[in-house]
Amino acid sequence: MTEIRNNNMSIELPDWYVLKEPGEITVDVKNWIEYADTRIDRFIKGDPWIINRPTWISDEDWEIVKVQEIGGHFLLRLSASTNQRISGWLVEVEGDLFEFRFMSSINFDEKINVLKDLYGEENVKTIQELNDFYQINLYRQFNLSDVPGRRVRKYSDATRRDLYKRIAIRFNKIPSVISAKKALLYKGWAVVRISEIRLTVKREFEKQISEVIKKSAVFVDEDSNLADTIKPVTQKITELAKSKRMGGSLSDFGFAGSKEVYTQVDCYPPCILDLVTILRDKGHLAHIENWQLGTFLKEVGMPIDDQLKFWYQTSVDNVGLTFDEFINRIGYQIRHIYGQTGGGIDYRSPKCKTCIDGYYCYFAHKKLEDISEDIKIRFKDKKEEMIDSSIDDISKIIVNNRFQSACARYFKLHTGWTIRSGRINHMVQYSTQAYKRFHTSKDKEKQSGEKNE
Amino acid sequence: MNEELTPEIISEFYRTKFPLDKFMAFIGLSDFKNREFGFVVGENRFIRNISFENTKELREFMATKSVKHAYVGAVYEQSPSRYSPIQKIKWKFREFIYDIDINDFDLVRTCGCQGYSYCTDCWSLVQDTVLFIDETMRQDFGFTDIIWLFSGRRGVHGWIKDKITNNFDQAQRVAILNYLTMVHDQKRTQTIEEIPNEAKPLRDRIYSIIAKSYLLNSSEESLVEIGIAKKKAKDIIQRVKTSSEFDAQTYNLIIPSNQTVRNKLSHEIILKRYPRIDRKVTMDTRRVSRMPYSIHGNTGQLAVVIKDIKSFYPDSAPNVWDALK
Repeated sequence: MTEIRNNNMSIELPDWYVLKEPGEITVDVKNWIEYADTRIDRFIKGDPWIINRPTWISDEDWEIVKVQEIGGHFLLRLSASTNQRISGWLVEVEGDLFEFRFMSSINFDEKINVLKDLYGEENVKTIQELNDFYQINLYRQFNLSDVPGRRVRKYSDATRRDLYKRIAIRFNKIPSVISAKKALLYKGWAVVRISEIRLTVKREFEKQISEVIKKSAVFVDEDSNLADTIKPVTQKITELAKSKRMGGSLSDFGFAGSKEVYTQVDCYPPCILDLVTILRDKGHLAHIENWQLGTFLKEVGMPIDDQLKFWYQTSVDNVGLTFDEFINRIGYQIRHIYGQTGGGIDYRSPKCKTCIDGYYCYFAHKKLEDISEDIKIRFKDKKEEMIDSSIDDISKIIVNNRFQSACARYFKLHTGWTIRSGRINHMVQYSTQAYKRFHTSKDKEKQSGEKNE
Repeated sequence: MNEELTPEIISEFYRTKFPLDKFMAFIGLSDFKNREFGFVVGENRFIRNISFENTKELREFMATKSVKHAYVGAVYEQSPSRYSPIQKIKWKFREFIYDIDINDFDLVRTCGCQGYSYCTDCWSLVQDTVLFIDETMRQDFGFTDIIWLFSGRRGVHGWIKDKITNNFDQAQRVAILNYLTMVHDQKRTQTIEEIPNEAKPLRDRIYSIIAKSYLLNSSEESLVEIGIAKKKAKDIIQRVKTSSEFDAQTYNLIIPSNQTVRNKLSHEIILKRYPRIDRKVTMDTRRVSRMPYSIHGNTGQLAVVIKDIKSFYPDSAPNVWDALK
């Protein structure tokens, strides 16, 4: 593969980019804790502040803002480095903040520079650089445009326009984008719109910030004063972690967990039904699948005692153990999910997007042929034409990598209802809506916000 | 098969005619002793986790054991052996390999051939596949060192030897495969993916390489069934036959502008002639593949490099008896 070298190796990174080398800064310890507190409060309030330098601010005042930003982040980084749970939280909230700032930045060059820092300067080019190197005009040759499609043209501000501009990244750096055929490939370069790489870039940032946080533990280990300094911050985050606010809220999805849903297995989404089947057949699941199933059952209302019994009856871990022994030895993870052990956090089940990436998604991870077989068996009482057209629709949606939409189409076959947004966002959303369809009165159905077909 | 493939013939071939220098140039000299080999020996016993200190040992092994099939695998941090099997040692690198078998097209072969059998009609599916993948690898992915080998029976293997591919993890290999895949669940439902807007080079290639073969093999009646008027269908077939350069632009000019017809035709072209790849071979970084230049134990044919796929037909491939003459 041909390598394009850039003579200008120094790149200007924006001040909001926390992976940027901070240079030399001096912070008073008292202020330092205040900066970290402010940052935590902003994370909790969901205040995605951005520190683009306003034109009216003086150099001195801007330096203060920068110190607050960098100082706050660095103290959180150190505080989280000694505790895996807090570190996970910090990676998540910093990832969300990074995504917001990256997408909101009105300076396109700033975005390019951040990408160059994340992926390596030799792996990211502007389209102009690519055109110059290959003596080509990619826009003309492939009839490309930076104008968004008709549906999104109403967004005319600079930020939005930027999202439809293209950049070039080495294809092997963004495999998920290549997999989904969302980039134009030319000589090993993926020519892609910024809007198509937002999640991939966020994940790369999270990977790198996670490594940086891990490495910070060395400083805390070597300096007892520093260990004392971070204690109150670590304490604060731990306390907060126990509250529901940090566990994410189901209100984001427009529904709340029902206390009775868990009793109706016919309302479970296909991913959960599959996990239960595998657990019953094999007697065990992978660790993350245990977690997915456990948090789901909790969230649809299964009390901890029932869940402990469920696992005792279905998993092979019970072999040779009495129920009490099982609870003492194996029940740890279940009690952990309910916040009764460990850090006391009230855990939520993962969203569909998270399941697609790292947990189990029926539509993303199961073979197409097995899905069609499952559908034929599960819905054998429905009309054959309806099943065939549903399989056809679902297959087409899956091969286009729209797994949440495939789930919504499956939901329609299952319940006869159409999900207005066209996609399922959460396992619990599937179950609560199915529960409403099959187990509540018609009055309640009208309030459900779903269209009954 | 010309005559019986005896252990003596195999042994003689590996002792006197096997081009060890070419094979070494193919896989590269470095890390040879940490490279895994696999063989079928004796009464069809498959053995793996084998490595050699030097090429002399390799030749001696193949000649003495009269190996029916020889395979080469990945390179590890240590030499694979019975005591250090590949599951227990650290993987280092593996070339990026495609496996194209004619039987993967069984559901769409219309000539009557199935399984291992083939004819010039259905072999053209393999030829188009190689042309399509080769161009995609070069134009879209920027690879330059690509070699196509005859598998010795019913297919071909593509080796992408650009160094960058050696260290690709499974996600990167799968990404390339997924980019190339348009027919999903190819042995059952054969679901066709719509060509996404951004995959313009892929689309243009479908409308040139694949569409040309499809139209050349089509009858007027089959185009009429898709919704093209009889006169237009005749005209299309005539234009394809007489066009010296058939590309996406030509395709767009001669195919009716009616979107429904275009979609139907595009669907048929992909279903009937789009490349079908054995995904497991490409994805699995620990898999062994037929050793270049070795004998196929069932046919006696040699896994030779294919210089020009357009003129290559399995029956004309060299075999062990020719080599020993």
